Amino acid sequence: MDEALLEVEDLHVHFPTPDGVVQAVNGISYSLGKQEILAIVGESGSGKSVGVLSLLRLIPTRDCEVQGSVHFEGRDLLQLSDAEMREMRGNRIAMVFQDPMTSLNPVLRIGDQIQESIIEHQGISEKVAKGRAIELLALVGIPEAEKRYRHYPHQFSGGMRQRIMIAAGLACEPSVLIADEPTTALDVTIQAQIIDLVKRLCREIGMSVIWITHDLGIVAGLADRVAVMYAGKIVEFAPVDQLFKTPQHPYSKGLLNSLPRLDTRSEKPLEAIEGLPPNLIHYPTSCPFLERCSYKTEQCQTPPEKQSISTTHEVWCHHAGKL
Amino acid sequence: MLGYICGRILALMMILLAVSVIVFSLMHSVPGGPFDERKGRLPPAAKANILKKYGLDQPVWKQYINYMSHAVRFDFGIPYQRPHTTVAKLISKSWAITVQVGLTTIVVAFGFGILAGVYAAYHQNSWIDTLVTFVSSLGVTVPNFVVAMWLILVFAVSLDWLPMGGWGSSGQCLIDKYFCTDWILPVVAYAIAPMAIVARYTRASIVEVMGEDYVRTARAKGLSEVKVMRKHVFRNAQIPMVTALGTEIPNLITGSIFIESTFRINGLGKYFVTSTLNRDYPMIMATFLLVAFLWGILYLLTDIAYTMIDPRVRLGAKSLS
Amino acid sequence: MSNSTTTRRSFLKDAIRRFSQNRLALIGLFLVGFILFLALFADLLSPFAYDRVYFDRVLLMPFDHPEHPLGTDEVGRDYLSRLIYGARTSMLVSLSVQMIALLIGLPIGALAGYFGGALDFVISRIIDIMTAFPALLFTILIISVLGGGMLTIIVALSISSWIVIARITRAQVLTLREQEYCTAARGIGASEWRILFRHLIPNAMSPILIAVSLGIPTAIFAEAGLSFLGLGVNDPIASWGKMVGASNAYVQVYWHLALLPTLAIALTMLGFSFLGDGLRDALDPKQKIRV
Repeated sequence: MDEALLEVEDLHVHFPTPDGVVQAVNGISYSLGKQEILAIVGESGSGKSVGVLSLLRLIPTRDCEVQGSVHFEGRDLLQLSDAEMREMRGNRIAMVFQDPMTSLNPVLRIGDQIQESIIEHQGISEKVAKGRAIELLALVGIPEAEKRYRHYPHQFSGGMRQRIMIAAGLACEPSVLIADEPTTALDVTIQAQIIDLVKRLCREIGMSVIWITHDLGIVAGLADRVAVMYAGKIVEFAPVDQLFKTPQHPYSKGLLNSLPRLDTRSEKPLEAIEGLPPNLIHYPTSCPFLERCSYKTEQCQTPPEKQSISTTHEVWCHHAGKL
Repeated sequence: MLGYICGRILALMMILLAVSVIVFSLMHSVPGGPFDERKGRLPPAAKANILKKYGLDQPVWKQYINYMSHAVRFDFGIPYQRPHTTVAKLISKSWAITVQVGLTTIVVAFGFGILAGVYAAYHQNSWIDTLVTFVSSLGVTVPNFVVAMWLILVFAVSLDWLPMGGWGSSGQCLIDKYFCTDWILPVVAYAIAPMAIVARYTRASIVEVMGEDYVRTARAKGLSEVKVMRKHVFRNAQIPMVTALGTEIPNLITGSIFIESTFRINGLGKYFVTSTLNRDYPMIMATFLLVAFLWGILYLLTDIAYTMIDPRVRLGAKSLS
Repeated sequence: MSNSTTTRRSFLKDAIRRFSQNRLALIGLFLVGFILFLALFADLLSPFAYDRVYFDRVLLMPFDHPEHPLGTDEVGRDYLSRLIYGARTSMLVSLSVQMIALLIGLPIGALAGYFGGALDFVISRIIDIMTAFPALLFTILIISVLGGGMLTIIVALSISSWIVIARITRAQVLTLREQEYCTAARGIGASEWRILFRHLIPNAMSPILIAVSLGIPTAIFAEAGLSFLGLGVNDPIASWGKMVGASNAYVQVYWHLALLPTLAIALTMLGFSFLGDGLRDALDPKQKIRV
């Protein structure tokens, strides 16, 4: 943890549109340690996906403006040329996407889709790559890997396809795997299997994971640290047990209160967070959560600064530690 | 796969049989024919002689069986309009020209159509894209004989650059009697509509595929842009392009009639028209069977092409549904 | 009930708004209106009768003679008058063909789709056989049997056009009859015929209307094309297609003989297809229907 593998500093992602500039990501900073699993949690439109897609420049550059710096292996990813960026993608930093039904190419054999990044980046022969692809299939728990190697995506279930996506992501043994809501489209039991798989692989291969999700429920058993995002900003950043035990930001509190709890038999109804997130074109000058906050005071008309609760627990709220 | 193709060929045979019955009975259900009294009186003896020669004095069902038993041996009888040759000979002679016209057109239409579509998809909303969209909506709507007339007016009459008609008789050819200057106008006029449709389909399908999640996945793997396009985009964009081919088959078959008529090309299409005008039943019957056969085979080929491109369309699974 | 009428009204209002914001559709509407105007008032608008022959005024160029602003044809008939009457032929054939196709195709398709069984089997096989070769060739076959002429063309084109309408109606009814409101109507004891005519056909109307409107340019093309080949309307009736066909022999000098009727055909077809596309975009914003 002392040495960061990936360091994101003051990342901004803005989309110019005819109606105005959409400020999707507004200055987020975080670091990712070696073999660490970092979860980024937030609701749809909070900028969590855009924030990671922009790391790999997977949003067409003509559509958006990205500012800030992303340090990885001694280089700033945002300053790389297109060719250097391609060399990173899939090779050093891999991605797994949300919907395994649409993220695999329907007309190509899955083996081909797994090995194509190895062939691209390591320049090895198709034969060697094939052996590697079959190993990977076995690694992610697909039975009869040798036979399944020749099958097409439509011959697999959703969970199996997500395993294939992960196998494709692991192909070049990247040091960072970015998983963008990889279990959202899956059944709950399959979800748990995928989470276990990623945790195991993380240990075995020694890679780090950034796991994007809107579901705080799955974070507890998965992540080391959690960043809660709201309206393009990180509002709270803490080790997972601290966040669950002592959430400091009203939004994190609200998220936790809206989770059903199975361990306590409470008569208290689940609490929803009322209201909608702010318009990202006319970004508020106040605290972005102001409209929906039940703790709001005069102070909240100015945007909050970072408050450190402990060395590892940071929160962006005027009332931090006083809730 | 083999079973499926056999089944399809069997179905095609049934369709051909149905077509032959319908055409034959339609042609014999109405009084009058090539030796109609109205077209000039014949002495009764001569008329009986002629009717006997063509077997027209027998009952219709007997004529049909007689006809079909010869037809399966590619003997389609003697055309009324040219008694000194056979239908098979006349068709095989004119057929070659129609195939030349058709194949050249398909190559031109698909070649340029795909190029234009890919370019327009890559440069969306550029002036080229607008031009492709505009020309294609014109090309789809305006009939090819109208386009042909305009081309003649501009390039043959006004500018006098190219001959007004003919096929392989202009004397200025690339190879022997092929690819001559008089090929240009018919092929362009004929190709515009399919080219427009291919360009539209290509553009639409490439734009759609470029937005698919799996293309983003391919980019996330660090593949080069060329590879992303070749391996992921084009493979999938081919599926709607085959559909375009399927919808263009009828237009290509009927289109030839107009093109041959406008440019005075002695192909099958022209004989089809003269046979119809003269009620030349043996010729009509043979051309209809040929077209229905061709049509069925082309559709079968498109379906096979589908399964080769798209693994989701498994033939076995498809026949179940 | 009041809820459904308001949604229906706002759907229509939406459709009209979408249509009136579509520039191409408005151009199409204007062109179609103009052609229909010519067709309806051809007798009043044209300076001469379409079959009036002036033996001394054969093949005049436009503006050669003050009485013939667009010249005369190869037998000395006023070209402007023939162009105006050509609109009448074109509209008469194409509109009546689509009307007949609708009258035959809609009930047949609806019955096949709704009742299924042996009836559906027979109708589907007829559709299969009729689509086993190009519709235009089939039309030509019927013409070769029945001989040319306006009536034959209308009959022949109707025979091949109803198939399209029947196929679309059948497909629509097939999907619609599985919808909940059908089950609901059956649940409250509505008769099968009532369900078919009160619930299914009105809901299937949009795609059918679109198919009819896009079938009109096809019929215009068919009439013009057949007449161009010499298989269409008989002399002396004016038809744009026939005028193009006849001009072929004179085109090197008398270019107007070819240019004017081809322009008329192209503009009419463009007008109707812009109108049809506009209708489709207005009635079916999700673009479900491909005709």
